Amino acid sequence: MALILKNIVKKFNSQTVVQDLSLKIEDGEFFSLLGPSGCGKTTLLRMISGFETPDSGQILLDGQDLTPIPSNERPFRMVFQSYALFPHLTVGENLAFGLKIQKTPKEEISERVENALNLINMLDYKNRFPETLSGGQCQRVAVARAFINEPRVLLLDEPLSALDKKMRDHMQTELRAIQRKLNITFIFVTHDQDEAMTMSDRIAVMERGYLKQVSSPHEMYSSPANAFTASFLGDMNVFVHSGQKVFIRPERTLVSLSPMASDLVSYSGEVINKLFKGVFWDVYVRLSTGGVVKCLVDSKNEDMMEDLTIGKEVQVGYSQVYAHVFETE
Amino acid sequence: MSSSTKNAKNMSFISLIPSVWFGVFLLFPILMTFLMSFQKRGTYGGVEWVFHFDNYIRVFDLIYLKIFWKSLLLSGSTTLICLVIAYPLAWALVTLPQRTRSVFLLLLIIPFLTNMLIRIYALKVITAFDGPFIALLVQMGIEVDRFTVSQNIWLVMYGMVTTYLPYMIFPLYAAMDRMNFSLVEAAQDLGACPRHVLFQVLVPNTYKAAVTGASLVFIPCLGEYLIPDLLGGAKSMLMGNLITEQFLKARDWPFGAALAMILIFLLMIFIFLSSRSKGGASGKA
Ligand SMILES: Nc1ncnc2c1ncn2[C@@H]1O[C@H](COP(=O)(O)OP(=O)(O)O)[C@@H](O)[C@H]1O
Ligand SMILES: [Mg+2]
Repeated sequence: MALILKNIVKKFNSQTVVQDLSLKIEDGEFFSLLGPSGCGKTTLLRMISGFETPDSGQILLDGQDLTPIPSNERPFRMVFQSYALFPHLTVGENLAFGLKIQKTPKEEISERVENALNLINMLDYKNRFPETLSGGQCQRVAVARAFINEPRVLLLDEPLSALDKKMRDHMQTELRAIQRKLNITFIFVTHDQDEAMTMSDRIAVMERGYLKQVSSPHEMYSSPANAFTASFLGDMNVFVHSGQKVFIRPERTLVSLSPMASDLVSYSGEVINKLFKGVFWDVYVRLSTGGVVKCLVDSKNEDMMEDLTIGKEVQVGYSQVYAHVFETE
Repeated sequence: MSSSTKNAKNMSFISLIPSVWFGVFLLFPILMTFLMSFQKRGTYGGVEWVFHFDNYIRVFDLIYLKIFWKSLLLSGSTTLICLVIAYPLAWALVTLPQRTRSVFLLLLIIPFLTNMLIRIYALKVITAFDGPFIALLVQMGIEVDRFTVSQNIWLVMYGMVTTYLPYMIFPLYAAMDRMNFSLVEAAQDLGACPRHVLFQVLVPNTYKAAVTGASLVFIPCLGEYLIPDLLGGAKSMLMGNLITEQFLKARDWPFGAALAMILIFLLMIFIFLSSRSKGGASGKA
């Protein structure tokens, strides 16, 4: 019981947009596709929904090949980046659109519309037109319209990117809650790594059409498989140790005014900036070997922060345990 | 402060120009026509100053009613044909890639900007009594009555459709272009088949443009006299021709004026209906 992508290749003209991509997405998973703009996330999603056809490869749902099935017969629903609510229909009619096409009985339609509106906390908006709604409300209606048909999979293409930060944070929690309640698979496209980290069960990182890594947010953060995921997901400091690039998270990078313990790899450097972030200070150090690294210092450490003035000579170091070293690609 | 009042004065002067234009070139002539429609034809042309309703009573003669009916029918069917052709054409245009689209738009605009008289005359020459079209038919061994082929109502309709089609295409094209294409995909995604997409998404969202297009085609069609005159000959007299004839040939200006008033009245009904149907749609959308 899963959605399987097998060796998917997609070309536009001569440009290969998705390169031999294979993936397995489990039922009920909140799965994110994460990658920079233009890496092929939307194209992949549109192939799953049936709006684009792969040049080669297969898309299987429970073992059945979906390739010959047109998009209006696939058990998937898409939430568009622009919401794509029908402007000539009310919120209620928008939600009922798919059910009416499926010739659902009238009483059942109105019952399911009420339930869906209840779930997104918009019962009072049933007879309003989309143009009278705020961005966050449109967003919720778009999601409700997609899940009301009880699809197997909900496909969301950067659904939160048009919202302001506060609304986005709120909607992240809300979407996740809706997904848990409905227990259907969400495939969520985003270019925002924080968003992917906070919401997902698993994340797939894409770069220029290639799948770079698929794993849980925690695993991806603590043991990235390659340099791209390492630096794309969260902050990374890059040291050069015996001719090799070594990646260390800022919270694993130590800074000190006195020499480091001998089991640590250490460098000397100069404090060039310090920013107060509440719980932590971000301390930026320029290494004498070149390059700038960021260290986190607990703001309870007041004495130390007083001594760490800009221009001060300091020692920066890390433990080999937390070092990530990758084969150069 | 003083500059802004001066500005306001300038503005009010400028805004006066259209009102004056409107008054002198539209309202005043219509008023004249209206007054003339109650007068009597002079013995040697010209107008006799009496007040009576005879002209309006004469309009209800069967001959004239038939011409009215024919004009309405022809304009209506022209509008309908334009709509049926323009709708898929506009859709095809918006789904074309940008570059090919400009080429096709240009192909539409060039004949549109060519003088109508030239286009209609060209058509007249081609289909004339001794023109190339009939020569071709004869060459192919098809027996034709030269007179019926060179001048008939179908030719008039053809001329009207080709002349007014762009007025239907452009508003529809603009509306479809403005419409978010993802609405179509959203409908498909929700399980809609092409027929559903057409009637439940495209039509409701382009309905106003279709009404606008219909007005732009129907209104000039109803008053059209050049096309029926050139392509239909004496056989397809329409309201426009009838009115022209009263003024220029029969020299019965008061009767022509009465006919013109009735045409204007019919058009006003149509405009009222179309603006109401648009208003109704906007109340919902
Ligand atoms: N219909 C199309 N025709 C040609 N090129 C396309 C088309 N759709 C997407 N592309 C190209 O494919 C690449 C990936 O696009 P997309 O999947 O939209 O990326 P993302 O959603 O990750 O930002 C881009 O370089 C884009 O220009
Ligand atoms: Mg995209």
